[in-house]
Amino acid sequence: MSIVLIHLHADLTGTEESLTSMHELFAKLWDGAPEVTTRDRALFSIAVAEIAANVIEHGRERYDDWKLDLKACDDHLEASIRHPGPLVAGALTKWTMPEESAEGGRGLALAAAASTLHYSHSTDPEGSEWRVVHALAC
Amino acid sequence: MTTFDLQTINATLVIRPEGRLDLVAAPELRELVAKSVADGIVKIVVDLHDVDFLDSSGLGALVTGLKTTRQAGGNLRIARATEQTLIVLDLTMMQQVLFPYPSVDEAIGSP
Repeated sequence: MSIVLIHLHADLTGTEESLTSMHELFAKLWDGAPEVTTRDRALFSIAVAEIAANVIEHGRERYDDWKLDLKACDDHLEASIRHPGPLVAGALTKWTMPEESAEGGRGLALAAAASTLHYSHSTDPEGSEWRVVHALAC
Repeated sequence: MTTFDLQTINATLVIRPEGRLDLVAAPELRELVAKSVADGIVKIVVDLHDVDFLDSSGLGALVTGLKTTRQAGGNLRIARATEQTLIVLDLTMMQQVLFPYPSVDEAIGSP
């Protein structure tokens, strides 16, 4: 069984404000889990940030608020990103890396390219959730 | 909030973003490159030393800048990439397209 080192939650709104708050939450997470390596921090935060950007961009017309939970355990890092309503159309597409000259469309592919990350999503009356789990090397 | 310091060295515009190069800051980088090209400065170096976090939107802005400058007969190079930005370049397989130069001087001086 995993041992939880720190669990953080934030209710977020707006684009720039919420992204700033998200990065501040990352910093608090690393304060509570100082043993996590720089590379694991980068991989996890890249994946979470790309999912968050996807949620913000695709949901701009429908909602302005979303919720973020970050958890550091002794053997993995975990994030939950929730927003009102169903998953937005197109949110589950574009998992493959576009050609080199593409000026966009790398977000989910970049998240998926972080090799030890896994994603799941569910939709219920409360909204939709993305989960990011990053296993830590023991 | 991301700030952009601008300096012209040997007919090359050096852009130094400080903060996150992400969804929020990417449009400003695109505008700075477009304005530079419109003003006739088509060689650009983006110094990434003070970029805390690069995401796919920031990377997309660099690709846009590369295309914009090349179409005008110039180029866009990146220098002093941090560990986080190198991971993004690696995961997206973009290191061949946006080769990370170790210093601004080497990025400017490379043929």
